[in-house]
Amino acid sequence: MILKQKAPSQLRPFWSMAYFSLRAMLRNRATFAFGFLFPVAFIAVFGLIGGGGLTISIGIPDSEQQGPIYEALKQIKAVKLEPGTESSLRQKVSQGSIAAVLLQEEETSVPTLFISAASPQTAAAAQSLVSGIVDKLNLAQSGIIDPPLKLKVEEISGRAFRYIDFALPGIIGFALLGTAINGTAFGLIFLKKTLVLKRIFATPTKGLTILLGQGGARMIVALAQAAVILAIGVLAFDFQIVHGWLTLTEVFALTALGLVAFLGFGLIIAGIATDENTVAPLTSLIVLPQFLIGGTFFPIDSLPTWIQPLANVLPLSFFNTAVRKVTIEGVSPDQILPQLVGLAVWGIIAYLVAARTFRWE
Amino acid sequence: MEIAISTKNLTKYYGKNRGVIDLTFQVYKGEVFGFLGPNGAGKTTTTRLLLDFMHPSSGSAEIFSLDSHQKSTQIKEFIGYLPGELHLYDSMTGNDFLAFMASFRKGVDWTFVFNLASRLKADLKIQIRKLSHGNKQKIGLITAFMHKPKILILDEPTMGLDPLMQQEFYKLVNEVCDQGTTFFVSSHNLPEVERICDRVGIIREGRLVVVEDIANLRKRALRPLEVHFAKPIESKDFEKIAGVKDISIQNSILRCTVVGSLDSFIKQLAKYEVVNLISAEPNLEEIFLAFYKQEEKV
Repeated sequence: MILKQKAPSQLRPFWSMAYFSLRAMLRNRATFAFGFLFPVAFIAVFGLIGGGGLTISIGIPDSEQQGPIYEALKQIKAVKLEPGTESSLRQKVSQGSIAAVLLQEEETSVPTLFISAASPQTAAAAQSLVSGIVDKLNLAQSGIIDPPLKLKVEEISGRAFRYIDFALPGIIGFALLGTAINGTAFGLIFLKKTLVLKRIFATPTKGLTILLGQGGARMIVALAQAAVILAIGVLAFDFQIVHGWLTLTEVFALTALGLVAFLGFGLIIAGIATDENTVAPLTSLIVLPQFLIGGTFFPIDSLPTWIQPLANVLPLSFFNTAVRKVTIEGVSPDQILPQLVGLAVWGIIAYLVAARTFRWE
Repeated sequence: MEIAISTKNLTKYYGKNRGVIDLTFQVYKGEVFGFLGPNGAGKTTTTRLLLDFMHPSSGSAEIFSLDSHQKSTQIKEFIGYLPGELHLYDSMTGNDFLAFMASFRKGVDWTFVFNLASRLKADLKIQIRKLSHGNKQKIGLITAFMHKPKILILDEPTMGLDPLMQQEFYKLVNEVCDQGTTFFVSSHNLPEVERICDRVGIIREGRLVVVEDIANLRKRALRPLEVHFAKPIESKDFEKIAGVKDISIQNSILRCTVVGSLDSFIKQLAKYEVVNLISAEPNLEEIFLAFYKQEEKV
């Protein structure tokens, strides 16, 4: 009998594995929640809190809401005038929930500003605002129409950065790391445990093909997540992508690279974990610190200085920083080389460890 | 005769524990080879080595002259496999699962698949978790047969099947075998092995004890006989006949077992007036069991 000596094509089993793995992921509620639902909720929250900018709340009792100081304050956009009784406003000041209370029983009486020690920055701003108004009124009452020293103010056009511009790349990172690590570890453990893997190994399918198929499915999900997050960010919250389609392409390319690197960590966990129960703590060990200090939701600069050097070299930090650089700063790819190298090094380390620890049985 | 499966000093150790030691045997194309042995003897290990689920510690196995390890992907194109511990995706229907398995290889003939399903009375529309053990086994069998493999490696193929389905399965094996397919059936079920196998290999403690034709084994089988004579007889008239054992006489009734041919025994009987002769199928079970238990004597 003459048998083909050529190894059978792995294309068919690759597509099968990718297709069934994708189907399994899309039917899995956890994938949907962590990959799509949470990120969308995060965008909504961060997009809304990012909108306001700085507001200074100044309390003026209901009975005293009149007169030139009141009218002048009303014109200032950043000032929010808080109504209420005098005693309730005083209490709010002492708690720091409003910056100051302005008391002036009659137009002729001396205005008194009580500023909050609990909120010193906004209190200082409130004080300089009110004293500016009072100075102006004094000048007008003294008959000086043309003061000798005048301030010239010019606006330089620029983008107002909002929290969403910082947060959105982190949200892409959050969804990506979850899909790469949780998805892979649970997916492979499930395959191993149900022993269906044995049936697949009885077909002309190589082990590598199974891994590539699983990886391919995750690639599709990761890119879809990035697309959904970006679409909502851009359409609903005016998330800035400096160079339009070019920037989007860069983000997708980074997502793909990040996924490949992070899949290695998923493989490590799938290798050392014996069942679902050991997968969960192991993934948390890798995933949670990166969510917390990897510049995902809070800037690394805002962390304690001793932890920053560590935080800066986490795999997810490299990804987050790279994405922010292309979306916010619009830098060219060569300027994110350190981040790309960092990700690549992590990826290589992960696959080397995985190659030693991963077992099919 | 063309050799389908051939092993040469195939050995597998799990650390220091024995898997199988020094297995050398051939399975010819178109035969049904039974692989027998008590639990833990090394049946599953052998199967897994043939399928390259693990690598031999030493020695080698070839399937149609292809090395089972180096050429495993090619080999699996023409192998059908039914594992002993069958695990399917419980949430799928039979149809889904077969489509899933078929998608990993080419050459699945769906007309043949549906034909198989109707012969085995397998319900492919029901979720697998709702199926009984026997009905799951049917889906496992269809998966093994679906791409018309040249070699079928089956582990306890009729486990859980009802007697009617067992018969249907035996018929199927005969038909497929007639088309030149080779079977490697590992089993505990001795009557089944007797029924479908051409040859058997018996493995004990990881070593191959014997590889023998079923027909030859039958020659060595013990045939229990009971003869009713018209008059009382004496045991010495039968004691000298070759192959006659365990003689006991009660008045005119003789009970004994005969190994191999009955010819000399019948010729001796012919000298007396025989009222009745009761015989049973020679039972291979005792032979198998004798092989299983040989260790004490060795």
